[in-house]
Amino acid sequence: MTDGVAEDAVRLRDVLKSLGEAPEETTDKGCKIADEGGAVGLASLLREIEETVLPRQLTFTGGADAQVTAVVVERRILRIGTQDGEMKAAETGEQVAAMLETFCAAASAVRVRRDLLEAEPTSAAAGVSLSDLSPFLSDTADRSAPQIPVEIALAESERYVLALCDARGEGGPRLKGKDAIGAHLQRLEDNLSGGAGDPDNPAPAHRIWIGGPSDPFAILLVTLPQGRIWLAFEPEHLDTCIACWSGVD
Amino acid sequence: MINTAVQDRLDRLRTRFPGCRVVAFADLSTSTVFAASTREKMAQERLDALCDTARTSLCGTLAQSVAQNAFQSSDEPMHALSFDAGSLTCVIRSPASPAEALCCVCDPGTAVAEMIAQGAVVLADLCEEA
Repeated sequence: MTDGVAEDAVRLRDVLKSLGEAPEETTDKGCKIADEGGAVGLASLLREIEETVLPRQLTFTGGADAQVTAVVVERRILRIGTQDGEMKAAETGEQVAAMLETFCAAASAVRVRRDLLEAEPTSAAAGVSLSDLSPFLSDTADRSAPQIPVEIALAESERYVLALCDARGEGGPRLKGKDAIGAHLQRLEDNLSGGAGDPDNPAPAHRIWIGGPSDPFAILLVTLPQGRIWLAFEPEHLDTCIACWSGVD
Repeated sequence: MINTAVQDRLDRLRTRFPGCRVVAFADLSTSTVFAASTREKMAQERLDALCDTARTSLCGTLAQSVAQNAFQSSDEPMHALSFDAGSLTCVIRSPASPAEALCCVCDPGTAVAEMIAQGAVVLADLCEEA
């Protein structure tokens, strides 16, 4: 049996299994994604945002009065509002985190309705992402929030990086961005892979250096179990970069 | 004996950033902590360890490789940071006196770019007075 046939067989088995299960309880308020509010509800809500790529209006309800509505495109919250007011542009992680935490604190369970929208005009830098929210979520919520997958952090980083060198996996490092800076990053990776890893820190966190003779720029080294990623960026994006990568491990 | 003006400056810098736990003024060449402002009491051994970490992150093998291969410079990097989901350490080097630096330990979400800018001002004052 080829791999393709095996995958089809697994899919068919899952479809047949799902037909035998009780249908998911769906009401006009959508389907239930968490049986409680608080940190559990917030984690489910954040996961819902993380999994939304096409333009959608997500309406979260959490009981009698608790409701929050968000327009989400490509995992970024563009607009957000509660039952008390109209939708406003999502401008800062702090503002949106406060709204989501207030909603989840009042919720007894969380339901979501996902309405597909017509083309939603957006720019790559618009709205608020999970990594923008992360620093402003309370300790309890933050621990429950999903870790940011490395591919999402990479996709977000493309908004501001000058170049990156992704040295995970087989086939040698992959370079993106400005060729000259990419070559510098490749040299750094070659030096490190030639030795026994990071000579200064056997169990490293992610690291950044800022320097340069005239026009300083920054180098980020992301150390992951599957390999290293190097990024070069301008220091003005330092906070964005740290917010983006601190949830990746 | 610690100069109270130095201590005041470190205290003001630390309390300006609510997420900042430690600000230490150190000589990286001798791994000596001159003075420190800490949110909670901190043993001298831990301050010494912080100073060692700061020296390694700015002057270690990897920092020198970054300087030569990325910054195309024989000078070591000006600033170094390390971070994970629970903590961030930031080392700010004095341009006027490269052996002297501020070592800051912060909670996630601290405005690091602003902290580096403010730290550089404090460091310039400290080095000028020294």
